[in-house]
Amino acid sequence: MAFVAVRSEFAQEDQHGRGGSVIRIGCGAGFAGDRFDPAQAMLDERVDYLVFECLAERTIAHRQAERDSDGSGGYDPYLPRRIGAVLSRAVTQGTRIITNAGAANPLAGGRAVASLAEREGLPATVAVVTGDDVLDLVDIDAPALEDGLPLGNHGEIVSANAYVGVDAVLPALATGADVVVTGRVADPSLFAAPVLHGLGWNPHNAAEMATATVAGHLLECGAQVTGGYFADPGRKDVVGLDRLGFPIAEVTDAGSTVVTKPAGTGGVVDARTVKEQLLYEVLDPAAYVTPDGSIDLTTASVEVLGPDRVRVAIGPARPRPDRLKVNVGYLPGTVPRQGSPTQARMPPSVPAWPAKWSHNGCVAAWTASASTWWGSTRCTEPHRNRREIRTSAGCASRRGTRRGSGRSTSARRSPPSTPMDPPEAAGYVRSVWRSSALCPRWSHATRYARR
Amino acid sequence: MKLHDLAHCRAGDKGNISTLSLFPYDERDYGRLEKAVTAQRVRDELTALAVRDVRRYEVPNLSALHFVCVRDGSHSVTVTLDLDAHGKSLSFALLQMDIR
Repeated sequence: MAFVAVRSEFAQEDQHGRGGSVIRIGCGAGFAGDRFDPAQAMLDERVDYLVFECLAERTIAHRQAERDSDGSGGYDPYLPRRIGAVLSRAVTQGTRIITNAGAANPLAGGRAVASLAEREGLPATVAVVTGDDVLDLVDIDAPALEDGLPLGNHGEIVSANAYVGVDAVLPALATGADVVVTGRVADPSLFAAPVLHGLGWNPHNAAEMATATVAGHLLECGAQVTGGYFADPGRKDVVGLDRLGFPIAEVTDAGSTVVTKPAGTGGVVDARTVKEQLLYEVLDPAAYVTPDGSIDLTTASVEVLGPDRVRVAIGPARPRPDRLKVNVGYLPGTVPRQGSPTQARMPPSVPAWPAKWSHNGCVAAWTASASTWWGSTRCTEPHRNRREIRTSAGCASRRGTRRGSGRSTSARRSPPSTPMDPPEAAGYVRSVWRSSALCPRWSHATRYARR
Repeated sequence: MKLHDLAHCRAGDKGNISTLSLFPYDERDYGRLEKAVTAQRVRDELTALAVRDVRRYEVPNLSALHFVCVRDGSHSVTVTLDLDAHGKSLSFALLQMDIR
């Protein structure tokens, strides 16, 4: 079992791992445009891990568009500022940072964080997780989840990102990196990974995986579980909306997690906020499917322990799915701006002009099989322009089919029979940078390096 | 009486699907909501907001009714022209339902 090997090799020497005691995960952001200051309160709380969740269907489409126009872009434009605001304190006090703000270009995002550390002279290690980019493997004849129509029917396909799970993040954590930058890791998985890593848990253990996933799901929307959006003045009053604290998950034992928030912050964590978040964006509550397992929320129970402290118990997870959901970006073409206020002010002789969408549309699909996705982990290149993307999308179907048929479908989901070096085994950790405080030069030549 | 007087609601979105989780303020009202707020009624209530199909899940352990609402394809967050791209306001639209 690959992850047993990860734990035995790395977790024991990880100064942040606290096997047997409590692990505290703080949410620093729940969406790309989230506030910056709540992360400071998390550092005051000395959480073990500070996680910034900055991606959604819409935002990854935006970032894909940015990568196209500028090969060095494609990561969250707030990434340097967001990480820069916490990096020094986090490294000093041993709070590790995880973020999916690498978005469409995690390598460039990781490089930006490494540059930050370099400038500040911090002894920081940055690990980058890639492998979610499956554009080269997309079968354009596969049906979209939304409407069942072939993906290629929606428009020119420009991006495809699989929602990858904890197995993508765990090897990065095992490197000991201070900052882990990822692309499209599924939201709950981004938070579940440090729970598993910190407690030395096993993703194949149903109770442990369910607990970690529920902790992640409760934190993934940031302030929503502490009273944001929940607030409905007059009916659901929330005090301190102007200084709303972000949530913390405290996990000790498999089976339950405690949600709370930093002392002195605004907002509320109670049974109502927690229940709203538990069912948020879930389809079938009996089968909340993530890349890591299927959670049965009909086994959940919510218990208020005290002010802003709620415990959520959950039954064991069912096994993770064979296939992963893929977010497929396409160019929906042009829309006439007829009737828009701008047009209405134009002289009658000026025809309505077509306007390119400012962002990509997206639909979701399942990976054709786990193996085709597995084979993609080394396809990501940091500098691709739109022309190159178009080229690869044009032949995506055939290439994907060929790769898929040439590999065993059990390649991804069956644990390797022999222990392997975890990053190599998982194939995700693309690069680890170390700032010059640790070594004379940093570059991605230090691939898979450990601190 | 409006549903808003009895319950609170949270909206979420996945592509062209909106999820609406409905919770009574007082858990003793769960049975009443279960009887009154059927999938058909939710569909009728939200038809004008492009909701075409509704499936209801009962989640008694959380005193919740969970509605999975399929909207027209053009109401997917990345391509919609709606001012409320995420459909967040659907929860409040549902709470305007009259209830006896």
